[in-house]
Amino acid sequence: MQSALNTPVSFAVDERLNRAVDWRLGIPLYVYAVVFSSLCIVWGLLWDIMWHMSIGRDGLFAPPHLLMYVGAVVAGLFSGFKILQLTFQRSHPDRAVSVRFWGVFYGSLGALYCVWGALAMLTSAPFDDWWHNTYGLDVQILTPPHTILLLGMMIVQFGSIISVLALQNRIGDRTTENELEKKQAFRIRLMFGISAGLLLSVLFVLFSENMGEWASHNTSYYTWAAIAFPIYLMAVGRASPLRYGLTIITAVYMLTMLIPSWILPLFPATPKLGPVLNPITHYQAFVFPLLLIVPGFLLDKLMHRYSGKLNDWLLAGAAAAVFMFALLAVQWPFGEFLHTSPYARNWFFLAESWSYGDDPTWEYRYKYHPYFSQTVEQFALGFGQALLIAFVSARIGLYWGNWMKRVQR
Amino acid sequence: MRNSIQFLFSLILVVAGTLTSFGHIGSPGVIVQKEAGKYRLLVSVSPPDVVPGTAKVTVFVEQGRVGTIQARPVYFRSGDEGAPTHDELEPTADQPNRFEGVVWLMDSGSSSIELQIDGPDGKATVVAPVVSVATAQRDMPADTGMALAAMGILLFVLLVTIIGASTSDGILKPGQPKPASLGRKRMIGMGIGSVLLALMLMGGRSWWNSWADSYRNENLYKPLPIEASVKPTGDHSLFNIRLDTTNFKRNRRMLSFVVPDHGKLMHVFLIRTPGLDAFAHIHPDRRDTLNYQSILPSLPQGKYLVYADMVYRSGYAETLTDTIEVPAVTQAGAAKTDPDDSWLVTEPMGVKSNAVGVPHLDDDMVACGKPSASMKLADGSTMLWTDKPSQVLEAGKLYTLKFAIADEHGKAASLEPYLGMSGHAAILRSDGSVYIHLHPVGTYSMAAEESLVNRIADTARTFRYPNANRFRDSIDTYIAKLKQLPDAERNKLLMAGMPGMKHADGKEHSNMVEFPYAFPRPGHYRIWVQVKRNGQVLTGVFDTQVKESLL
Repeated sequence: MQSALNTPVSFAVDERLNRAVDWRLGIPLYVYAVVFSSLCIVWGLLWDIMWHMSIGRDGLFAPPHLLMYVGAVVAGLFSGFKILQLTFQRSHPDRAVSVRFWGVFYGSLGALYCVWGALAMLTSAPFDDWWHNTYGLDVQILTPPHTILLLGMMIVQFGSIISVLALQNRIGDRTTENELEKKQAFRIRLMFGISAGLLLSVLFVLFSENMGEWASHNTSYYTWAAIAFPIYLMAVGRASPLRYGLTIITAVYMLTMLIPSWILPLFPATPKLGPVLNPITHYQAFVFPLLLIVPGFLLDKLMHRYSGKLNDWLLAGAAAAVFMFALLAVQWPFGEFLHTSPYARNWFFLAESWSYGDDPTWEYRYKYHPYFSQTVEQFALGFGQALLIAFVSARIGLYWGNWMKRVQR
Repeated sequence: MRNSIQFLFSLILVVAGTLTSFGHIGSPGVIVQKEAGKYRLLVSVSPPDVVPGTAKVTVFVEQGRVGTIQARPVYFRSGDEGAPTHDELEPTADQPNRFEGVVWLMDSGSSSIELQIDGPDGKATVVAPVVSVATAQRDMPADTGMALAAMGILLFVLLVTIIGASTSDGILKPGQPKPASLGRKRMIGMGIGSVLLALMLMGGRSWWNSWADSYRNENLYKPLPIEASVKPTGDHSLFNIRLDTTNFKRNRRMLSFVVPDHGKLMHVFLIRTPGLDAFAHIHPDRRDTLNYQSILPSLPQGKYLVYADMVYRSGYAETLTDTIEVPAVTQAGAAKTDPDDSWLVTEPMGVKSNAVGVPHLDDDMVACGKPSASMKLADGSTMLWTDKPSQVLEAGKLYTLKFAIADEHGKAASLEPYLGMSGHAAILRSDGSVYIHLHPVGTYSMAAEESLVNRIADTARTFRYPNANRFRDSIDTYIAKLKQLPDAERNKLLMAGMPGMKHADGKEHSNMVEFPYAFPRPGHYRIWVQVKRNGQVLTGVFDTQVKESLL
């Protein structure tokens, strides 16, 4: 067996493995809990957005908020409990895989990130309340208190990634004949893919106001994509030991985005706030996600071929080019399809979705607004800049991914 | 019975105590006294002081058997079709005739709360016009600030710790001995983390500041500035209000779409400060879109507060303010720009006197077992403030202020409609910080109500404005025509335009006039009550003290 397995950690894992052959496959319940939290957070967020597009009025305890709180509470409590357990149980086997902080506390990195995220989400609540009383009930996704909330959510999700990652890195690329160990390794790697896909979904939501299909023929769309995605995809792509890690992560992202957008519009919803310019009767879907699975798959292929052969600078350059040109090749026509084609206006492609407060007869609802039109030169120049940004983004992502690969605790 | 019911109505209303306030200066709430179908209702709306926000709606059912009351916000821009579904107002546990609820106002601008009443006495609808604007500027309370700062410091320190651990212990393989470089790596990680976090916090701070700036500069209500001036000409002085369009982009108004309220495009109150002893209620003519002009009544020299009420086509109503210096009168003239202009000079506020015919801080007599005050009017008749609940009134409490007029022989004097209704009142706090132009139907503008009622009847999803010049000309023509009509016909026309208008007790030519009002803040207030008798506008003046609510 590999050296990692001779450590007390892997001993602990092994021991669990032997005694637990239930659905957990010997993976600590804590890890499932934080991945579940991450899912609650992203679906809570998507539900909340659709709630605001369809019903409008919410309170502190609106159902979508409750779902997000469940995410925060589960992650926060499980992680907080874990930290207290490690701190107060001197003989806890996981102390060997924890980090010590402030002289007295012990905790895993993942638990620390989750606790931080939950605390940030908690802090945003009174701040948001004061904000509403001072500047009005907000109708925007991004306000300073919401940003703290979103940051907290993303850090909880990042904590769940790190929790899985530590396990994944500790088992390393072990080869074993033990069926259970094989299953366990695959489960851990899959859970890394899922948790990474969940965070990718929130990352997309954060930038979605700049990446609507209405802008898909404008370089601003590609510039935002260049800022947001290569950094993240290269990081998690490098950290994932799965052969098609990015394909799985981007597929998880697409499904995470689509499932609530397919299900909720089947339920009735009427606006509880005015002015109602679009009198709807059912939930309005969020958006059809970017087809990131295509650049994701191509980046997997690129990494199969060149990872370890090219240095990270060259790899970042190649990844930037592959990502950007694949995105352009896919989203230019697909964005146009979603925005302009009558065939997109259905339950599957969600293009009919229109918030209650927006005028449904708006001239540019299904047409590109002249504001977004560019000459070929303008587009080429802008896209060139986006490529450069994507290169920097991908290179930082590789640094980040190298760190992720080394996370042990 | 009436009195006991009325007493019930005089119950506590929480009136938001904001100083900067919209429309009627310092009186943020909207009070509507209305008869609809078989119901008689007193509605009080406390609009939000930040927008989007929630308005608090309270309905007192004075008459009629009510089952349910539902409320919804209807905007002028989007009308009935664009209004959301109704919310039910809940009856309060201790008072079955009092209903309460909140209505969400999401946009700035002219809006209304539409109430639908249902019950054994049938269905009825009441519309309360509300101007939805942000008026409050808040600082963070110290305890919230401390708690957030404490959490902020904890989060900062914890995140720096986590980043430090992530770059050191976190990547150390279990069982591996700690290398000497570990501490250094942690410090580097923490250093970089601190710098990045500090940069993020600085970015957040400037973002927050820019948010606060844009709230202050764009969202916060600012009255349209005006320049009032007095210019002596020939045998009289001319009073002019010029609407100031500096920074018009930020503070835009549809100036061609001003509509008449009680047949006047602008109601101006001039009140001499500090004694509030000289008072005029005049109606300047529109010279052009920006200038409104009137012959200045023969007022004594001094500094005057100017309050000008205007209503726009959308029902957006606002009070514009300025101060002017009125020079010494050279010629006493009785010339009027408008036949309905009126003025009065009395004792300054705060003069305690026991004589009838001068205003008093409190009262000099008791009628029907309740404290009252009386004042001799210009034609020899007497105006009485009757049923005043107590010597000193309470802030935030909804009162029905009732005034009766007795002729020279002490008998009930019948009143004529003045500007289409039984009476008008103006209320001013001694420092000028609270001002309201009141009517028996409440604190709102009837022109605004008409605009919104008509808008609700219209099924268009978005209101389209007509040609501005043509609209302005048609309004000017209408006003000119109105001015030339004999009094009776003019009143008939004006009253026809105010559906649901009835005199306080339902009878024509009553000797009573009533005004629902809640004084927003403690202080000394002066009330001018204007009625018309034998073709003459008569003004009664009363002073009262208002104290902090006991509750």
